[in-house]
Amino acid sequence: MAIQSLLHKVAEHLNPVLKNSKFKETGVLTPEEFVLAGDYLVFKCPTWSWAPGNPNKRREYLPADKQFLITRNVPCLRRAEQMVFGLDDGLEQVGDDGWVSAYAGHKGVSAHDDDDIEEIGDIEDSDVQIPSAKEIERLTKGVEEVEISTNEKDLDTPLGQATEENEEEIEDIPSDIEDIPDIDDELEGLDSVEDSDPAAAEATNASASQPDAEAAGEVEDKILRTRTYDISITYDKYYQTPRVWLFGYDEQGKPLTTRQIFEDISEDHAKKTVTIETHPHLGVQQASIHPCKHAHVMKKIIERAVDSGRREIRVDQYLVIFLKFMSSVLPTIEYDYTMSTDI
Amino acid sequence: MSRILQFEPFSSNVEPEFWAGLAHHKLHSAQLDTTRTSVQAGFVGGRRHAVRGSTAGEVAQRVAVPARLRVSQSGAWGSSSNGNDDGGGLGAHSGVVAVSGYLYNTNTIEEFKKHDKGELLRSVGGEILQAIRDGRATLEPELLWPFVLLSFADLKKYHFYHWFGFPAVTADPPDTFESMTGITSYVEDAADLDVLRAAYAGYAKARGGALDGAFLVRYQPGAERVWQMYPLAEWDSAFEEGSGGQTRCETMLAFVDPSSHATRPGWPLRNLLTWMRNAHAGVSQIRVLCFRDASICLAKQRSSVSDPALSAVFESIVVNVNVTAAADLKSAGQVSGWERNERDKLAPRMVNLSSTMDPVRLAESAL
Repeated sequence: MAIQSLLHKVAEHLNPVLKNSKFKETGVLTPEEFVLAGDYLVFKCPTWSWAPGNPNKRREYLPADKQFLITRNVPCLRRAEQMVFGLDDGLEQVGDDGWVSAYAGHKGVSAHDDDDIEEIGDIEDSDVQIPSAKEIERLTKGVEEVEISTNEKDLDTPLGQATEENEEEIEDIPSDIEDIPDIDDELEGLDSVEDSDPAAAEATNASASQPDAEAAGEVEDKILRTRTYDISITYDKYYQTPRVWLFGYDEQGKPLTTRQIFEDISEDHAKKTVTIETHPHLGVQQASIHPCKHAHVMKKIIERAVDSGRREIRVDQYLVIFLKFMSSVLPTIEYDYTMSTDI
Repeated sequence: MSRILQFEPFSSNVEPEFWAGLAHHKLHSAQLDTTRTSVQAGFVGGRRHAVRGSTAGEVAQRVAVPARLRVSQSGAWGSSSNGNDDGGGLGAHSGVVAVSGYLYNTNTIEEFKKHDKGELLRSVGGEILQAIRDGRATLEPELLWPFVLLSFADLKKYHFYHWFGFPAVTADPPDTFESMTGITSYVEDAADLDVLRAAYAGYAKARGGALDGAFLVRYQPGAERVWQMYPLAEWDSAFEEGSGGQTRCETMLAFVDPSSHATRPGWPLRNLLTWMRNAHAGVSQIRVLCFRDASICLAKQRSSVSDPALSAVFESIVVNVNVTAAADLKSAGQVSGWERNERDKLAPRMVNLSSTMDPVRLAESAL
């Protein structure tokens, strides 16, 4: 892992910046096209924004204030596992999106592509014709299956270790907190101050305000506590594609462990294409979807769109489509890739 | 009938870079010094999140999410070499209301435990009252919202014990409200909401791009300028009589509301009402606009802004508040606001970042 990661860094350093547009032929992007596609994404989905990152880690081939894209506080309600096994009854019926059928191993589902696209429904943006999640699922599945054998071992090794360490950490945490049990006792005085504060809404007890709400004829509103993710997209100079990074927080805002993050990544990808590496602009370790297949998949999606006679995909729509593709890897993270899905 | 006004507390959200910065600061500049350090955070206007229905036909719901105060590394360690101005992406342009807080980083777990928490909040609460009395808070409303962060960094294990406090000067008896309405039913014409968003963007721009967390708004439907914004200091002109016999001309106290809860304004309103109580003692009733979703508001001007899904301005609420007069307060200077932990107790939290900060692993992947 270390060596592979280091080699990638060196290779990225030596690899010349891509100058000429090749996105239709090979699915890769130049830095200029990345900026163009990023601008389009920010325009379409204002929850995404450009970030300058740490000046020490600035990449010269990107504008100083447009080093990477980030969206914060993205909710994630369910675990991907629930979707895989259909534990969530409701999801089992979402066959249209192909989540369940794809994971259940019904690879040969012979739904007609065009039908799928008619059914997307959640994409109202008339000028972007995006393949359905199902179609992308099939495309990516093929890719993974062909190439896994070369990468599986390398990618599995470090992640396996990380998981073991996390197991220990999970056991550690409660005992560490028990080390300071008297902290509650010391706060008796403070406790009473807080408890006698009728204006402080109970954070989790949403029913506290129920009588009021009912009196006002309003529906009771609850605060939904979910896992949240900060998702960023960087430009990977070696693979010449966007690259997705994840940092997760649990329902109380505590950082997620690697193992917990894996719960939110589809099982097909979790242990194969996700690595834990240092974020190029933020300098902390984050989970990243390894970009080695991205260009290939994007090329297929673009070709498919052209073949089926739809409007040609413009380069500035690349990231919107890319994020649609990512939603098959991150099925439960409700990030914003088209405005209309955010309704 | 008036009811007690309840507020949605802040929910702290710390970027991992912040802890990395703290570790660096502790090792290289602060060392054993435990005097408080200034740290930066920010909040954005509340925005309900869409949750897809669990069945195919079900319409996505928009649900309230916690009101986050996000602490990032940006500007936090100004004196150290690790500091940078905009590393965390906080900035006026992104619709963030920047607030300052105080970090009390202790050297040992015992110190952390023994620190007098009540006194800590009271002292910062006293500073807030001082800023109100000498008029600084009127010019810089952000001074109403300092936060405190008591911490102990176990740098051998990369364990960070911490406890956030969001000091709120409490009112006893508490402030009450008469009525609360969504802004869509408050305005006469839905198109006015587009104008509101544009007016706020224009106001923020005129104020040098920095977001005013609190301001005054005058609503005059049908007038040439339907919405007019004023800084808190221009109270008198904001409440001047409307010109030209408009049927309706209402001035409201407004703030960028991090809450997305339908009936609870966010925490910043608490100290803003304390400001009201002191700076405008004669006013016992005030209409408050809980302005939500400033970030979207400042995004590029968009074509289809009237779609409710695109902007949470539509989720803003208007509350008629009865402010308890300062003279009627039973006790002055009570301050509350320690954050509850993951078990809903008034107790500290701990984050374990050994997996993301282990220097061996970082060195491996560093170029």
